[in-house]
Amino acid sequence: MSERDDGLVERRYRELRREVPSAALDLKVLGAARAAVAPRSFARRWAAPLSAAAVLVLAVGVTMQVQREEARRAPVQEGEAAPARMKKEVAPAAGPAPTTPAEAQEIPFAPRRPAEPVAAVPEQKTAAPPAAANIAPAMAPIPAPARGALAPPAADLARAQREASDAVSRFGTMPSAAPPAASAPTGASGPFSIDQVTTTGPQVRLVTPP
Amino acid sequence: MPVTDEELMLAYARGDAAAFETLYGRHKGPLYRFVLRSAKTAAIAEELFQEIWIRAIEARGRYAPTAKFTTWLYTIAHNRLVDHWRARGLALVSLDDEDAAVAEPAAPPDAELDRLAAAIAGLPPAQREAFLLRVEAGLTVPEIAAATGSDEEAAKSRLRYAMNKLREVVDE
Repeated sequence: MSERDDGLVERRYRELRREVPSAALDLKVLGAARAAVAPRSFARRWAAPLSAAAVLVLAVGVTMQVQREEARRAPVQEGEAAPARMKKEVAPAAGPAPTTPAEAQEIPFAPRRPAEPVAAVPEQKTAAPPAAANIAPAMAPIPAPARGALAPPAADLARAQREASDAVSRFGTMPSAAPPAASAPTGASGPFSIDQVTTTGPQVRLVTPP
Repeated sequence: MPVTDEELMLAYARGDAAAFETLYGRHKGPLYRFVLRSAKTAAIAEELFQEIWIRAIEARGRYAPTAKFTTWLYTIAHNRLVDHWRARGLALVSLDDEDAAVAEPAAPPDAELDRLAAAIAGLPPAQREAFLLRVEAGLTVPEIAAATGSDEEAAKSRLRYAMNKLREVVDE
């Protein structure tokens, strides 16, 4: 193949009709080219960011609302459940379950009589909290970390019952596990009556007056 | 000194629509004839021509002047034509086949130019493409190879076969 022959073919080719695209086709292509680089309108430019921001705000709002609802509902439910739980756990450890309504009222989740004035026990170094203050935590809404503590395993409960029975058989009364300050005299009327219920640990402690 | 194609394309990629108009004016005729003589009907050629330019417009952000703009543009055209041939069920393996079925001219040629046009239309697709890239786009053999995704030897061979056949028509 010689360059001169190639040149002849190319020259003859250029004598062929020189077709060009139609004006309508030119307009389509140039219109597409202009549209591709045309500055976008304000609405088109901000549509996507504004949509994303709206979705974000909505999501955060719903999440906060749900959390608020849960926080408001939780204390109510636990406040209703706590007395029932306490009654169930305290009754076997304190001795024979009361069978009459009068006996049932003996189970003291509230002071049966007003505590003696603090002035009556001046020798105490630390002021004992009033009995109502000790009982109040059991009646009040229980904070979240203590929820698990109010439901001791069955083995712990059984062990507590055994220890209480042993103490009764040995000493004729319940052992006092609470510190002296916590066992301020409240004027209990019997060995199995419960003056204070504390929820300081994983187990429910039953405290009797000295 | 006129602005090069590459500079115009970069300017268009930055948002200069006027640069594209200049670029389009330079290349619309050769590209249209390249497509027209490959697709053979004006309706299909117009559709393919528009799609090729749309692809170029969409790819403006990825354009890098590592090669001539013409090579880049005709690479897009080649790929679009390959898609077109595939859609029509034409096997690409026949593109290099010297003995591949050659389309017969629509009417018996009377003059030399008609015979030349008929001979071009009758070339195997790969040879016709190589010839058109040479005479319309002005590409060299290495550039033809780059635009068609083949090696230089294959591009050179296709161009030589095409020229030999067309020379027979011109010399008659």
